[in-house]
Formats: sequence, structure tokens, C-alpha cells
Amino acid sequence: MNLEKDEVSLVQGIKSGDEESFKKLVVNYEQQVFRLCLGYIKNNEEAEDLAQEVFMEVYESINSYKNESDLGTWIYRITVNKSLEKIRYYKRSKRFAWITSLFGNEEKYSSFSKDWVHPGVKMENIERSKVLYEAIEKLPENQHAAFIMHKIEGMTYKEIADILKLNLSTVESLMHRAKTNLKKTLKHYYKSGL
Amino acid sequence: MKVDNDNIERTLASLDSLEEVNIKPFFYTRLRTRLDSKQTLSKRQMAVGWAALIVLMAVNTGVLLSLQGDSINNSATYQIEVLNNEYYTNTNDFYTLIEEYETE
Repeated sequence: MNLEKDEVSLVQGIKSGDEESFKKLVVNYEQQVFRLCLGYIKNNEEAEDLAQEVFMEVYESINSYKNESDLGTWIYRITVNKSLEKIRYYKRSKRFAWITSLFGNEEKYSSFSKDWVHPGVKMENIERSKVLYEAIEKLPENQHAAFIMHKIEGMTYKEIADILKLNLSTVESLMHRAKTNLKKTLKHYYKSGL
Repeated sequence: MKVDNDNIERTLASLDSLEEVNIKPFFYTRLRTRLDSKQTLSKRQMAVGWAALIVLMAVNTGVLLSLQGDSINNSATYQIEVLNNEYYTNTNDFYTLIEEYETE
């Protein structure tokens, strides 16, 4: 309850242009936002860049926040949307990379590198996590989003449902399909011995 | 097949119990710098935009006024010519036309 009151006063402070309130909000959420970005973006520097963009968006659109959902949920929603936008951008860039290479532009981003390992993965799981991340990238967007939130940030299905504005049963179904698809991809991977 | 399932389950569990990853210190300072530079840039862009708009409007107004002046002159000259052609033969001067009218 105190936290809710705190958040209401934080939001009011930011709306009235109080620098300290914004700083407090950033400090409260920077780690979670960064970790969530890192789960999607697969590069520390780019994840930090994206986390900055998230807080810039929060700062600029705080007047549109109507207390309908929890402040954290609202910030995570922005984070997920921005991350998915970025992933779409990377995929588009990758698709047209041969055209840009004709004009001598090097690929700007190192995302989707097969060698990337999440910095929090334990040593013994490094190789397996690379394989899993490759399989996760092949998932449809909404399954990808839900799976990362659950696995990386350890969010509950209810929290994921609030962030994605879906029913709890829809999230359960998304997660079930995500796991089934991942198992299929991994089965194919281990069968073909790649 | 058993090995496959084991492999799959172990791979699926490879992202469980991740160690905590923290963002680099002074994140807020870097964010503040970026926000400030974005705001300065947008103010500068706004100033340039306004200046361009004012110049454009001034040019437009000038062109409009000069065209209107031409059309006023053109229509006055045209009317005298019509009058001249209709009633008189050899003059374009308004005062001569009046004199000719009065003498008639």
C-alpha cells in the first residue's frame, strides 16, 4: 500500500517536473528494465541504450499514464514494446543487409550473434543456452515475448498477462505453445546433430 | 530417444536460475545527459523550423502582392483597351479619350 502511495506521488512529482521524482523512478526500475531488455536484445551496450530509450519514453509520456495499471506494469509494457520494435528493426536490417553492404554500410548492430551468451548464465550451461536462444528467436513474436519475461525476469503468468493486456488463459496457452515449439526445434537440432 | 529428451530438457532448463546481471553504475547520469541533449536538439530544430516558416511566409506574401499588383494593372489597362477599341480608334491615353468624348 505504501509502495502504491509512493508511486502515485512519484508520478505526480514527474508530471509537475520534479527532477528528484524522476531520478527515484529510474533508480527503482533501472535493473529490471535493463535485464528485460538484455533478455531480448542480446548485447549489453544495446540493452542499456534501449533501457535509456524506455525511460525517455516514460519521461515524455508520463502525462498519458492514468493509474489504470500498476506503474511497474506500465513501464514493463513500454520495455517489451520497445524491445520487440528493436528486434523487428534488426530482422529487417538483416534481411536487407546485402543491399546496404553494396553502399559500403557496415552492419551497425551485433545482435543476433550466435556467439552471444547471457552474462548471467552459469558456466556449465553456456553451450546449451546458445542453442536455446537460437530456438527462442524462431518463436512467433508473442510467444517469444512471454517466454523471455517468464524465463529471464521470472515473471508470473498473471504479471505477463497484465503487461501484454491478455487473459491469464491466453498467456498459459502462449507459454504451452512456446515450450512445444522449442521442444520441436531442439529435437530437430539434436537429431540432425548440428 | 532417451538421450534426446534429456538433452532437450537440460537445454530448456539452461536459462533457469540465471545469476543476477546489473546495469553499469551511473545509469541515471548517462540517461540525464541523453535527455538534455535531445531536448536541446529539439529546441534548436524548433527554432530552425520557425525561421524557415517565417522566411517561406515572407517570400509567399511578396510573390502574392506582386502578382496582385500585376493583375490590377493588367485589368485597368485591359479595360481602357476594350473601351478604346469599342468607341475610339487611335489612342490609348485615358485623358485623350475623355477629350474625344467631350468634343463629340
